[in-house]
Amino acid sequence: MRVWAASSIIVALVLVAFLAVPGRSQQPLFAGKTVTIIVGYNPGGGYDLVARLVARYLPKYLPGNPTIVVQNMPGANSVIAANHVYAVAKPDGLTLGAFNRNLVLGQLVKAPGIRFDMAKFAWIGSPASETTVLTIRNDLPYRTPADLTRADPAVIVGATGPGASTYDFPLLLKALAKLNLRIISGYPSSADIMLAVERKEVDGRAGSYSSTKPFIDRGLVRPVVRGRASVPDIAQLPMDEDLVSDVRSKVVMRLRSAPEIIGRPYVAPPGTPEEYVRVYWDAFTKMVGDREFLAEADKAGLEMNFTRGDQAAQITRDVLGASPDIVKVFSQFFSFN
Amino acid sequence: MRRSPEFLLALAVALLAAWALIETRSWSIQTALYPRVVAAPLLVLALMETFLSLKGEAPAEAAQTMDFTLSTSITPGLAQRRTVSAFAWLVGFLAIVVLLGFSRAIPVFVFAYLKGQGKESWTVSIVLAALAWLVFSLLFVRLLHLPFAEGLLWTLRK
Amino acid sequence: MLQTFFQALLEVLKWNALSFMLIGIVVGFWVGLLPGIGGATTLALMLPFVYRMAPVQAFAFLLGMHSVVATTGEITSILFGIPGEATTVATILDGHAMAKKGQAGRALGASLTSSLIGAIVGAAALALAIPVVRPLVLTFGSPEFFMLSIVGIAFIASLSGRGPRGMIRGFLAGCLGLLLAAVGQDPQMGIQRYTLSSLYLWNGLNLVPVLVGFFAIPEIIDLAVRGTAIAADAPMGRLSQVREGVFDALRHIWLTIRCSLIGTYIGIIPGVGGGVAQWIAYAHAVQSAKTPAERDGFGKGDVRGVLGPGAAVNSKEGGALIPTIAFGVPGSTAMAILLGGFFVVGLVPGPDMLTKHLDVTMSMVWTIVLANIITVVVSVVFLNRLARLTNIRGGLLIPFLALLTFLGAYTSSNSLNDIVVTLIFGWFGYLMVRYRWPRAPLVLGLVLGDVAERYLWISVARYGSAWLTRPIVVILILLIVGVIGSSIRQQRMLPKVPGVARAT
Repeated sequence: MRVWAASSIIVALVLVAFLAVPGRSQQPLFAGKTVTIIVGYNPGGGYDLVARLVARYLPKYLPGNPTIVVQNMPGANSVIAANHVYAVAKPDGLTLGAFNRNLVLGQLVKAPGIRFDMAKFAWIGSPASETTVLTIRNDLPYRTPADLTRADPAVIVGATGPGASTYDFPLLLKALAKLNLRIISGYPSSADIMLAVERKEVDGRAGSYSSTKPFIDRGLVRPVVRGRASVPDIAQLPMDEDLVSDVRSKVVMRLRSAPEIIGRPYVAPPGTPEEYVRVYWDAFTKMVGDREFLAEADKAGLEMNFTRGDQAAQITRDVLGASPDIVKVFSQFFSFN
Repeated sequence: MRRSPEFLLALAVALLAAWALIETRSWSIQTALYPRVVAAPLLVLALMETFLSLKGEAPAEAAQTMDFTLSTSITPGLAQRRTVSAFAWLVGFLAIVVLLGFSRAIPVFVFAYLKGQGKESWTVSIVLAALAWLVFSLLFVRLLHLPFAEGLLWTLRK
Repeated sequence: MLQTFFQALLEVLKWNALSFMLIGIVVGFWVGLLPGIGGATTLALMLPFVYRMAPVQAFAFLLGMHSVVATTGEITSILFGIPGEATTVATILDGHAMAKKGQAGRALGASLTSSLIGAIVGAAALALAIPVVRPLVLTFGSPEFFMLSIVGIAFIASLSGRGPRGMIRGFLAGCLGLLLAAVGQDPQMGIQRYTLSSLYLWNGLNLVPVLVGFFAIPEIIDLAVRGTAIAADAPMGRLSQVREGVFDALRHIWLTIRCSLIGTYIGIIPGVGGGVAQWIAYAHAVQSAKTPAERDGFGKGDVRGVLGPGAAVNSKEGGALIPTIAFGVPGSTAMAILLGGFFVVGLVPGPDMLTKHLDVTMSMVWTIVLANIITVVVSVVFLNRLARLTNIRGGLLIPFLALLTFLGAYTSSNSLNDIVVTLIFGWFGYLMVRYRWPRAPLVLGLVLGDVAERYLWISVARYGSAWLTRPIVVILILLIVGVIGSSIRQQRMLPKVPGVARAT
């Protein structure tokens, strides 16, 4: 009999424990969940690197500490991944997308294959901005942009191809600010351009500051002009927009650099509940204040500063709201395929 | 000598090359140069090959390539049937992957092949199918977190 | 410098570095075996683990893993004819043919031994190149890169068939490969070419699904047709032993070393890398055959066809490290990720690596050597057992080979389209084998097409027509003429051989 009594008490306790759970204070939002970050590139690139760093540190700041996994969905400069997150992924707050920052410009110039509207994503924000600089070989006599307008012969700039900052940035400088540059494009990657600089096949390269920094530090090249988005290191450099006087050129240049402020865009599918989005905003904000996180990012050569989703969405809307004649000029210089 | 369908392969390549050349019409020189430089000799070579195959001229030397040769131990008729069925299984595998998604398609395919084509026993078929599924879900899904799409049947139903 | 050299060995042998290396080897071992998931992807996935490691440990871990991938990738290639890695495709031609003859053990032994020799030569090259690294890398500019890619294709195309008809087919396949490389965005204007308005093709054909289908599917079909085990042709189930393969490598030691040097040198050239080194080494092995009859044995299970690529694939890693270390410019995707590893552990690649951090550089040399020795020794123990897999009857094996093929294709970029591409190329590969068109030139064309197009444009844009007069370019042009010429001349002198029965 005693056994019966004991076991019924246990059963009762278990039942109570079970029933009590839903009645207890509300579960943390992400308890026991898994968040997926869909990256539009294969492992090995900057977008993947940042995503994996985020996947390790963000759970600490999300209520319920979910597991975050990174999935790679490469192809078409991450248009495939963006189409997927826009139309297929569930807006349950558990899927994030990390895409090419230039997708918004692609949408602006109506590139084929784009089946999303960047402004309609639920914007989480961007944990890092990207700064573009034009660097030239240190043994050249030119120091300022003005020197470069008088350069003779033209300074040869190596580039990958249209749609990349290695190409678009010097192209605008050449066309609008009249720097005497000769752009040779077709290099497979920015690393290959650096090797071409080293063997004096080309004289310089434009590209992200973080990837150029090691070469600046070791004295191979020096920065001459930067884009709008900036980091303290090179804030003193002349900005591309200052080199042109007419408003239209300024606007075109600003358009090109706008996505760089949202250097690593993170979005959620349209219709993701507001409550989740706000939690992500908080979590990202706290994460970029985490010392350990910053130390690791710094080791990987990443400059972290969070642009919150609402700001990022505003920048996106501004870009997409550019007037038709500006878009027309811009399309002459920019192509996204 | 009986004409072998060999010339069809060469002809198909020639047509491909011709199409590739036609496509380049509207492109700027930067875009079109490389495909033209490559497709033009391809077209010429493929036409030569077509012509030579049609003439039935296949000198013994041509039979020597730096590659493996298909088995000749099976009679041509049987070989033909087995080839078709092997391709059918592969295409079928793709079809059920699309319909059911990888995680369901794998045990289904392994079981179906072992039981249907391989004529293995029930035990062997079931155990191996389960094993294939287990390795798949542990290694690729749990450990590597690869995104495997759901089957069409599931996505459509929703 | 010599002192640093041996100090570095002691550093690597310290227990914590050594245990990280062992972990790396275990991971790399499995990654190599599985098709699809490449060494580069794995490096990227493992990179976060090195944040807390000291430089020597970090590189023992990463390089240990990386140097094993290609070695074990050859095991899959030999046993099943499915490329374990994109860099171990050439091994299939003779390695899998040997397996079918019941010589899987021998092929595995030969491949692993040549891998080890290749790794040692590559590492030695890395150590020896340190004083001359700058001129070594910098003499090769865009015009030379372009010419090298043409040399590669001409080499393979002229060697892969016999007689004028063989030449036609060789170059036909090569051009087709080059044309397939044009699919996707063009490198100059970013215009889409031949993408059939599909986003999937924007960035061109994915190499892995193409290779997996092109090589694995014809083998699967043939296995299904025969209805037997892979090694059914073997005399009564007796499989040859690994030991024979080891002796083969030693018997052809000079060939192995020459192929290692080829691999190293190609490894140094950024962007060309392992996809190419294996084929050039293979072509060199074919070329080393003295009589036409001997040459005909290639593709049908000549052990030299295993030794050449095996050596080159591993020696190229040493070569690829040279520009990575000396200039901070990676020679391959894997190296690009390794470069990330440098920054993570607080090192800036560049001239400092050859002076201030010479010990780290030297420890990398030792890691490559040690990781390969460990892998080979461990593998030899159970290779004979692995070789027995070729005795499993086909009906049982085929669904798993199909599974491996599908997963290998899918996991390279997680798209179902990859499997469609695999099947299309599988079918095409089957037709090519059936009608005796050589597949090697097509693969090489596909791999090199992009490089060739880019560097041709850059050469013309940068130097006008003057690039044609650069000394190395001239030498390479002469080399092409020589290779094609000698190939034609050799074939003129051929007696009319009573050919093998023609395929239907």
